[in-house]
Amino acid sequence: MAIETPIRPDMRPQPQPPGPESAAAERHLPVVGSPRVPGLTVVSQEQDLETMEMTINMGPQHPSTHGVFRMVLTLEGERVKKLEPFVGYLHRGAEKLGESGDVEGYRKAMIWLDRTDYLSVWANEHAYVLAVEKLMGVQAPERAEWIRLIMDEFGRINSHSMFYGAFGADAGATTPFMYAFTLREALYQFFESVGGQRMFPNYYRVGGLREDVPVDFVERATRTLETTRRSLDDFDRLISDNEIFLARTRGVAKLTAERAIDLGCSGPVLRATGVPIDVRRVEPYSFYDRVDFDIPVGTTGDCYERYLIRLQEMYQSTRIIEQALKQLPKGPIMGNTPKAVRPPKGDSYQRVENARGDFGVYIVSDGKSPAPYRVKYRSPCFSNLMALNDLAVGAYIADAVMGLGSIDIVLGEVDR
Amino acid sequence: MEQVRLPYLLPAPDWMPEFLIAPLVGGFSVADFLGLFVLLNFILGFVTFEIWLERKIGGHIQLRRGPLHVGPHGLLQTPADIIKLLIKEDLTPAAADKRLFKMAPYLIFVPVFLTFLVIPWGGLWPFNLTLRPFDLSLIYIVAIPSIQALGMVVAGWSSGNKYSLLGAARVVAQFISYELPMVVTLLAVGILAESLSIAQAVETQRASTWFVLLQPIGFVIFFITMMSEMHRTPFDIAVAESEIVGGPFIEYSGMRWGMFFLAEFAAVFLNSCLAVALFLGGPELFPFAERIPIPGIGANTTLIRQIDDTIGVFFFFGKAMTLMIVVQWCRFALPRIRIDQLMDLAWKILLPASFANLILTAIFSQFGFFPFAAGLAVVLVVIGIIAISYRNRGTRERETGIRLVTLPRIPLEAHA
Repeated sequence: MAIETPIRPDMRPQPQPPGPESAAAERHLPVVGSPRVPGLTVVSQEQDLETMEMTINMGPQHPSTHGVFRMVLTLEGERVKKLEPFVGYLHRGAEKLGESGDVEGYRKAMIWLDRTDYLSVWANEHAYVLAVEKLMGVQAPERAEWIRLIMDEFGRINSHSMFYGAFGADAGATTPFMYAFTLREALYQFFESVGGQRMFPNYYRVGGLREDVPVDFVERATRTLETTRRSLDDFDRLISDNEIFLARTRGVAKLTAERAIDLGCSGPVLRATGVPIDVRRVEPYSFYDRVDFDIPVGTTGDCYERYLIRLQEMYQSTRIIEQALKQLPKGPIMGNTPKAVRPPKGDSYQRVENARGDFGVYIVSDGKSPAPYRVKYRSPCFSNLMALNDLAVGAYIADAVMGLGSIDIVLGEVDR
Repeated sequence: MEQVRLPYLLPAPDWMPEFLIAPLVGGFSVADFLGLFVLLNFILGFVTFEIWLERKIGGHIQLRRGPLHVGPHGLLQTPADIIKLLIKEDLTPAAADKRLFKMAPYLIFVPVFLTFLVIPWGGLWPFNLTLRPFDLSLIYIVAIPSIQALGMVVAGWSSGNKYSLLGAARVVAQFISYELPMVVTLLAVGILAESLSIAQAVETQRASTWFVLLQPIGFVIFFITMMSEMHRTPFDIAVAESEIVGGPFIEYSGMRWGMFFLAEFAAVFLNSCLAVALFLGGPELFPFAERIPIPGIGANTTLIRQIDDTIGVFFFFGKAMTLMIVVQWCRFALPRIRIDQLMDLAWKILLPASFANLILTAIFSQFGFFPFAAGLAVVLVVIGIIAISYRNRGTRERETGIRLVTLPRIPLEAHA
């Protein structure tokens, strides 16, 4: 199968546009560099008041860039005048590695997929196995599909609770982080009992699951659900109505619906602007058409609504899990899929709604090799991150940090 | 109580302004040196305990246990940490202004320690524990700790790091915002005490009633501004970890870094002590204790005074520790306020309120219907606090556009 590689534009760093020095030179202003703080330049000088622009490098080792994201901020006092994002510090070639397995390559690709978005692992695995199943024309048994759905939703709660903790830390509160980790621990213990692993389950298989869930799965899930509900109420009571938290988030880092759509945002970032789009409803997969749930949608698209939407989504997830546990049938967990996965020649694409938005897996098979010929992940984080300029430029540094936090990126997935 | 003075060892310098040398008037005696030695060691020891307490309280607020393993209930954790800090390498960055860089920690710690000189600890039979109960101590407690802000600026500037420079700028902005309301509030205390001496303020409170009942607004303003002065959450703007990564402290390591935190925790204790001495009656156990009739004896003013004179220092400590715990509680319960919001708060709310407080205090203390006005103010403050805490209940339903959208279920043929 001939796969053409289109000529792509040069993505390497290009020579930067003229900086403040030449801007100052154009306006015939004296340029005074600070001897000890390089990059500090006088750009405008009046009779007795001079203002300075400061170029500051935030990341890749900054505590609130959520990983190894880097942005170069041009500041005027406390305000962000310009923002240049740099990604790629965590690029591990997850897609290329996914194409390189020589034995059971289709299964190995999923291991690399797990390591990209390490918080929303379950939904991503789901997208992958559904894509391969679509390509092979097989289906997982009902029980397996229900279990997948349940685990997807638990994964969403896990990811959103980490957002809650990190967002609180961005706002300067230390306690939300610990609350989030308490819930996360309960969830990870549950994950461990199901898939044997805490973070990277590698549990879904093409055509089903790796192994059946424990005998007391329903009890465990119900118990975890109870813990989750209690934690969510605690989350809500802790900062949702807090005066300072409201002052820090309401009306901060706004995004309009048109702009969000233009930028290709999805997930809570898009829904906060008032666009009710959720892949689970508009293009249902798995058994999402058999459960009732609502989609929380905002209007103003500010930080606070993004936060509330995620909080509300966690409640909706508990609702979904509750219904799914009631409908969970008995039966096999693996269909009659061959052990060695060799899809026929062709390609397939599968979208799912993971915690960050519209996640997609595109797979091309050449029909011969044991690994996919090409794997491509459509990353919601990367698209959502494009909104950063709209959120941060013109805001205070503190608000820029909140804006970045409210996008809820996972750098592993942005860089892949 | 008369203080016995021993022969002087050093004469007081006569070239300094009066309010600065006031604590030195009469020179230093052996008792002074002894007192300083005891005070310094006591403060260092107490701060060690205080850090443990804060970590323990923080732990319990955050669903953790806090320090547990070094010593009984982790009591020796802080000494262990200090030993670790002492043996760490003392790094000075290449870009630093070395002399200033090394000086800054002392500029921050010494003023805090010096301010402890005027704290009227209260009676411990047969002594009255105040190192220097001189007349201008109200001015002294404003003047001396403000050197601390200078130390922060020096630390921020001399580190040669842009984050610390931003932090230094924030320190200045914060300092000029909160210091003014604080001074005006202390003036009102001075009017009530008819003196600028803290010892006299304590005596007045023991003779009449606690100033927190006469000056509730003043107490609230003082509490807020003192939290701001100590750069504690929610006012830790200058050291905001999620934005400017520790601000002025970013380049410090080892014991120099430890000095900053020693100073911060000492300042928490110091300001709690000041609040107790100025507003909460100093070493008195109850505000109206002298008027409460004891069965069989009747109201006995002398007896109560004698109790306070004998073990008043413990009452003082109890109150100071309670206030300290409130400060620590705030740290774990609140997010961080933004710099412009702090300046809004200080200039638009606290400053007018403190001036109103000052003028009302002056008028009422002149014309004498003070108890009525004070009672009204207490009621107003209580109503205000209740109103603020209930203001945001149900905000989400009322003011944000979060709504739940139920999209139609699209049946999925694949699983039908």
